[in-house]
Amino acid sequence: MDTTRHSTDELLDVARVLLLLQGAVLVATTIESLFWTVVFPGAAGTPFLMSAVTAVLVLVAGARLRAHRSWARRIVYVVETVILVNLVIDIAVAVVITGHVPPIVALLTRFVLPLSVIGLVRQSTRVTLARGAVSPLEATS
Amino acid sequence: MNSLLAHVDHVIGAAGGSPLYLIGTEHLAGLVALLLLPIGAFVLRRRETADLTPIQWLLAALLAASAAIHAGLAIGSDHGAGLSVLFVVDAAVLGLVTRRVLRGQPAGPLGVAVLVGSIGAYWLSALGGEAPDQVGLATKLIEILALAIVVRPAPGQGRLRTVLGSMAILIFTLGTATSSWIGAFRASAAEPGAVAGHHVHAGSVAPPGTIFPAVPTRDATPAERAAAANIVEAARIALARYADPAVAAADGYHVNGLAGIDFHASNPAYEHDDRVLDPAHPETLVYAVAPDGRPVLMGAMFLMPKIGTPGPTIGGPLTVWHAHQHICFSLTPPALAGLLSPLGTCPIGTIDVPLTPEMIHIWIVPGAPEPFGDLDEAWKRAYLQAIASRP
Repeated sequence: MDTTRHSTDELLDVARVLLLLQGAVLVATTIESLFWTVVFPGAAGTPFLMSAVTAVLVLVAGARLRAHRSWARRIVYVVETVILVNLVIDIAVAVVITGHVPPIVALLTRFVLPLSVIGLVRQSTRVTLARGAVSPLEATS
Repeated sequence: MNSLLAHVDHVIGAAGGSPLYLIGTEHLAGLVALLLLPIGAFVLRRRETADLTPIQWLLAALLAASAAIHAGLAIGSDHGAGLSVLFVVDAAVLGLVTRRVLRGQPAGPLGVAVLVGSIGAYWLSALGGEAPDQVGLATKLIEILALAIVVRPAPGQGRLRTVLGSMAILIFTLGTATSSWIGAFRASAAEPGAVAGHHVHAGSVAPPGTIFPAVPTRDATPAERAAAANIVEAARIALARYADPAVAAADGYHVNGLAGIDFHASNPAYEHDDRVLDPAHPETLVYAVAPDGRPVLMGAMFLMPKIGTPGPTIGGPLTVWHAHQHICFSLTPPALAGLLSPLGTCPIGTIDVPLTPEMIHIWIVPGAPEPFGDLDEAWKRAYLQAIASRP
């Protein structure tokens, strides 16, 4: 798919849908985390809180993602980077311990989704800059 | 590819983990069909398509992927003729909607209906005890994403439509996760194995988070029965002093926060001392708190020093070791934080530990129905109640 000929709105339209799915997955993860905290007496509450905050950030940033909103893009970059770093650690642990990578669905939700979102948001910024829709300072700040 | 084969090997092999984290052999045809999809797209590339936006291309790709997987399942599935027909119908309708999208038309009510129907059918299948696997889960995520595109509001349709669409995607995602958990646990309950502590046989379905070892289906020999009885007796004698948690704490066991009826107090020093199944130096003690608040030593858990090293089955099929897989482990503070979700995620800030060393429980409480494996929950509660009623 040639993204260079598409408008910022079209690219962000895709990113918003991906973020909606990612947010829904994170909400499910948060609820599961709460469940495990109840089931395992020693289970920590911190992961629940971190998951809840991440889910809210993804859903809010996804809903508010627009070409001229740099704060939403920043949130997206930070959250996706955290998810990707977490996955890199998991892959390293999995390869060392078992010799193979995490399951396919984990790679879809924690690698393909974040990477696609980052790529789309970056590409939309480039298109915006190229077309001069907003000032470079506003688009990259 | 090695990773894929490794996942498949777990399913084909006699021993393995929960199907939830694996690729079922009966679903391989769906994956093959998905891999062949680009060839079909190449063949059809000359056909006239509208000038599509990125999101229309994505929708077409998602619908085509789901159609291909269902077509593959119709051919390769061993679920029976009825289900194969449903797969064919699903694939055909998804293909039809794909064609409409490629022509620049909206997916429309037919698109919504086939996606909702496909996701709903998966829920019913999982709730009925069909073990979910990675192919099924990936397909549902593809369909939920397609549905998110189909139900998203057109420009100017308003906030209410956006909220309702988002809620629908949230509900479909939560429903898929929940039904998958239920399906995975129901499938394992229908074929109990090591979870009951013994008589594990090839073909048992492991519950999520647990890996069954390969154990022959046979009765224990007299020598194995004697060895099993001896180790239980040795543990009963050696561990009696740990009835007092303070003594256990003095020896390095982490008894802080003792609570619940399945509290595992580990001793990190013993986890790395290379002793194997030493009744006097278990890696973990298991306590329960009686209703009157009294801590009761129920038994011990013995851990192999290294991941992948099988435990010694001194009692043959009576002494079955097990391992755990895809445990989410928190570092803030260090603690168990759950199991890897069907959606492929651990809670944020936790690490997915794909495999643990093998372990075995030995129960030293008098009258325990099973000296090895899992202790029956109802029996445990009744025992603790009896302890509490004693003066």
